[in-house]
Amino acid sequence: MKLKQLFTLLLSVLTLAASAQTGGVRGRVVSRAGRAALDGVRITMTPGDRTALSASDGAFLIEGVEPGNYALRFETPDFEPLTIAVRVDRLVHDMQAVVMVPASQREALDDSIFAEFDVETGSDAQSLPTSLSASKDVFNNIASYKFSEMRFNVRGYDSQYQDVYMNGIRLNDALTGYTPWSLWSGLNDATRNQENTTGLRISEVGLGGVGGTTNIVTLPSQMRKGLRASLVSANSNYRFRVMATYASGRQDNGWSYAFSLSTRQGGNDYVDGVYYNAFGYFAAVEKEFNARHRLALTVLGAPTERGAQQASTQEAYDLVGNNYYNPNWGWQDGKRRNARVRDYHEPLVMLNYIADFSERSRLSLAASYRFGQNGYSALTWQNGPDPRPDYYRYLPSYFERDGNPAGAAMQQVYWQANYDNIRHFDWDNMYQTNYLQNDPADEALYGPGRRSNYMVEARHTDQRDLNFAALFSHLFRNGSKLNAGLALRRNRTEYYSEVKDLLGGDYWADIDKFAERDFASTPEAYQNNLDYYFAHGAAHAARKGDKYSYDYYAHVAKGSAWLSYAFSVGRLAVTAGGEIGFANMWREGRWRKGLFPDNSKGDSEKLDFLTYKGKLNLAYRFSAAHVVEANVLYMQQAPDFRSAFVSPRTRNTVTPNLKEERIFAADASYNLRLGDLKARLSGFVTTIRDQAKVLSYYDDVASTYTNFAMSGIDKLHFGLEAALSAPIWRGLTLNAAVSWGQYTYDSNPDYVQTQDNSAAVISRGRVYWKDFHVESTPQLAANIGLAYRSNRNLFLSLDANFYDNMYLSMSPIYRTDEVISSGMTPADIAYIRRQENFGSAFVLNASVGKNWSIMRKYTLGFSLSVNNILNDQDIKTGGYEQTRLVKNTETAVTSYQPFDSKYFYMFGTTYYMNLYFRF
Amino acid sequence: MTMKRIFQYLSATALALLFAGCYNDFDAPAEEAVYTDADLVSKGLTYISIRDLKEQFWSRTGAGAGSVASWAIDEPLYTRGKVISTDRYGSLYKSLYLYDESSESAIELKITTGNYLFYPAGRELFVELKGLVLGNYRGMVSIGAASANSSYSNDNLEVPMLVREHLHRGEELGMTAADTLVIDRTNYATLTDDALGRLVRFEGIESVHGKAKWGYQNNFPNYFANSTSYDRTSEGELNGVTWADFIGGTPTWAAWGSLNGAPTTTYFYGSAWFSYDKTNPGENTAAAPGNYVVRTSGYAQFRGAPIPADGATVDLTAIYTKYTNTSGRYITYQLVILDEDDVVLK
Repeated sequence: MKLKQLFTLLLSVLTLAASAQTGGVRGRVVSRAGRAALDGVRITMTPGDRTALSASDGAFLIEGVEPGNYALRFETPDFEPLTIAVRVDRLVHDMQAVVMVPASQREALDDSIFAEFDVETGSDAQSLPTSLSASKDVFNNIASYKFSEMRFNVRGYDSQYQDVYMNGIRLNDALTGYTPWSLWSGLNDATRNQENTTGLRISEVGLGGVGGTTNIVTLPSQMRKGLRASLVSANSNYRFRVMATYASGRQDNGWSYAFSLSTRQGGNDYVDGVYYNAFGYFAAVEKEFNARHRLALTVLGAPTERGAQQASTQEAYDLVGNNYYNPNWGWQDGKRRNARVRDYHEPLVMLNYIADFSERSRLSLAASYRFGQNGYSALTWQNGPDPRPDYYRYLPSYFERDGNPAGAAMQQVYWQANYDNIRHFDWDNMYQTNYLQNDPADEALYGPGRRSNYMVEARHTDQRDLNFAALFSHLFRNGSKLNAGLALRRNRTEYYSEVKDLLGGDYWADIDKFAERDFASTPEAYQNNLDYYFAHGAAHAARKGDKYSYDYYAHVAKGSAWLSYAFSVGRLAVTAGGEIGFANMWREGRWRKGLFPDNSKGDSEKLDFLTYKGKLNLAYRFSAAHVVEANVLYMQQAPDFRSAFVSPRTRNTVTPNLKEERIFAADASYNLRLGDLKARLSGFVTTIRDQAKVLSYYDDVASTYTNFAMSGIDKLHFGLEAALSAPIWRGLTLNAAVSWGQYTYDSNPDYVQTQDNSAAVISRGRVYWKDFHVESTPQLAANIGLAYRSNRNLFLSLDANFYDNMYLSMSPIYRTDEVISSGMTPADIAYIRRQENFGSAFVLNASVGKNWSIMRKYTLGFSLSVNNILNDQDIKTGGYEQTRLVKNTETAVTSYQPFDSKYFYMFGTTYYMNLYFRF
Repeated sequence: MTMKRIFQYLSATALALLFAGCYNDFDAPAEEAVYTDADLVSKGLTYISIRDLKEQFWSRTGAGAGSVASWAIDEPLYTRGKVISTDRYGSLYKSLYLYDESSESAIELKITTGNYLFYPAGRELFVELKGLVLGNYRGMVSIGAASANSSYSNDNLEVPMLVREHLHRGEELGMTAADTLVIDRTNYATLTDDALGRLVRFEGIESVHGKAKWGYQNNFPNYFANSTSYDRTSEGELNGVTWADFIGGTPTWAAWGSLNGAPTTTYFYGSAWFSYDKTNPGENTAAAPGNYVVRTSGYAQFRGAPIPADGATVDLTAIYTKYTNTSGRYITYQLVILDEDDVVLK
């Protein structure tokens, strides 16, 4: 007897001792509406970064936790994130029901909210502002949504400085570095599951750069089960959107799947010719082999067609009477036909394999393939006057400058009355002109048929992007964590132009019209495809669907290996990481250009770059409420493909002085969290060195088409960010944020300007723009707002935003010595070099929403947001200086004056109404 | 909701979506109808022939050949002719010539670029004259728009919308032998200012390289740009370039190149002398009859083709124009070649 008692006692003591290591937390997550179980809720326990997912019945368990005080954070789409402090003892603490409250539906942020830039220098889409991801950081959360109306860039960084991952693969564009939101544009519900880091923090999937990271997780097992459908009516980007998403949740047989379909259609109330005809599809399937191994396949795509807007000069806007005039379209067949239409379908297929060797070790392997095509149409013409309606010669200012006030007055009358549709393209005239073409000289070369003088071409960048990533993480018993990864990328993009619509003609003669003008007597010189010319005796008569003008591959191969280690020393949390890699790029011309027969077809020089990063994150936790952080980064990255070649459409010549770009960044923050009050104050400084940029444009000084290659561009960004989200009373919360920065160019870059036709150097020198401002983001942005949520799920918000210090994108040409003529005084020189500051703007936005719970299972809701309530239609959101110059030859010395700049304006009052249904 | 239901709803949505957007279907417009006199008359316009138009111009303005004179037409008139020129090869710039066979008279139209595309040679063209300006430039009358510069009597009609308001395409008539006036060694004395603007074929004419005895007594061939003229006798270096470097062995119709070591390109007009009677010193300052200067723009595609050698005999087809100084003296008859093939060696 005694022995048995002793044995039991011994056993219980031993068990107790053992359980000293097995404290934990468990509970059941439910929704406040009807206590319905919430599955797929991500629960994060800090310190320690343990994570768990709630099961289909809402249950969760985190065990093997050292006793202590922790914070448990519950996050899932459509519900307000919840943080609960919990104390863990030697046993598993049962929290019972954890109640989450449904969140208000926010206006969808997708790339459609940004007006298209249509820069004449020939480069394609502008980058998107950085803030398109949802973030739990109090400042980024406010900045992302509230400041997006002004194309705000966090800390002034272009989108290439924000890393966007999907399931562990970094998907920023291989050639430009831009964020790839357009790949899943319209699939907001399917891509809602995001892990974000801000600024210089190291993430779980990679070290990141200066602009934070976003990792979108599309694994269906992590998507909450149910159907979500929504219907949107709006007037600012598209007229309506329908979206439906279904996720099966984690099923008992180990399978889970999800799919989503959406469409966005229609135009807007402000700019004519801009429209959306876009679809999105998404399907993901996952199989859990056992608790340890999972395999998932994701397929998504966003086939889109949309009409683009072109900025115009203030003169044109004033003549038309509003700031939304779009010169890109004209009437045809009773409809508005836009010359610049984006048409793309770039599906993405991804395979993920995750192996959890233990609760503490995970290996994740991912492979993705992106393919498809991406075209951007444009009107092109062989000869004749420029058909664009707002060409400078058709505006009154041209007549004024010419000393013809009567002509100017007449033009003004025509524009104001839109006499004979002077404001728009005349498609009919282009067709009629094409119908007329039957010159025997053309027939002798190209055969019978009408030779089009006008046509719509589509400039393509068709990518084949293959990625592979391996991620390994291990959580040590002492709480420290090791993350390591390997990423490999191989991209081949075909750049070419395609004949899209011959506008009534039968073929387009594929010759270089500028070379024909200059070298008419040698037909070889003006061939775009010299091998074709030698084989057939004449240039190609390109028909609809044929490639023409140029055809080359951009090849990029990149690889990197990284490591990060996170550990704590008392109250100090340290994460240190390093990465090393390479980038290899080259151009492969597919056609031999007549002007450069020896330097166009075949491979260019193979460019090799070394890349590396070193990052350190320090966080000192005074208490759960007060945390101070300091971060530092030094990195070297490869230049992007576009700036590596002087004129990639014509030849293999590499940009002179091309170097790796180097970035140094440091920031420090103070974070405050008192219950539901959150605040952050940060200071940052970043230097970017040795960027390169290439422009191609018609130079009025040299009277020829040129390539302008800049190197040694340096930038300095520093500033302060402050944000506050404070509950005031009952359901009322105050939010406020300020971003104040100074983002300037920190050097006078070197440039080399070559004649596009001959590669002869026209001029060299410096671009004098040191201390001028980085463009296209307000350097001061401030928000103050109120948000209210009632017990019955009524949401109201009101926001007042203020912006200032936004600068126009500069044309480097105006800041060189080439435009300086001998009569100019220093004041004249300063005048031609000055940069335009847009001035301040004040915007008021509001929203209202409500949702109802039906039969404890379904949610029906709506939200309506109204932006720019004050209907201010004079707020510039962007723009650029033109590259052309007015040449004054009347005076004794030829002098130059810049052309008028072109601007984009914010829309007046717009609304966005979303009706949604979920279960 | 069962899976089946869900699938049904989603497929229905998908189908609906497929038909949702058809933005790309634009019907091509029908070919426009050609204009006829009836169309112009129905607008209330009265026909005036090119000959009458030019005569009225001179009588209204009372101008001398060199003076800057304009007639801004505000009467409801129209004229018509056949397009006889092409600017495809770059020798004409923003200009076309219209020929009226019935009155055997031609006139220049000053419009914009690429006229061969819109108004090809052989096409009938109607011009609504009200609102346009007839002007004189050094002896040549042209139809254009009002000029703001007092040195010029008219300017180009450049705004595309206005061009289309005033110019209307008629039928395709095709070029015929009657469009070209044939001149040779026997009848060149009969060539008068009546033929200004017309296509003239000079048969059996001699190419002359050397110093002219008439007018400014220029050396031919010569090249002109930036207010300076260059020929083989130009002393020393031409802004850093010798004559030999500039034109090489064989003089060409026009020239294009870089001067001052600068990469900017300068386009030079070329002037070449063709004659039936090269020793004639002429009267006063005017060129002697039978002597003509082919003036070619540096932008012409055939600028690099050689001028026929000194003494060579050719058949040459060109637009016949006149050029005087501002006092109407130093009259030269200049020829504009439209296409390289218009010069045929005998």
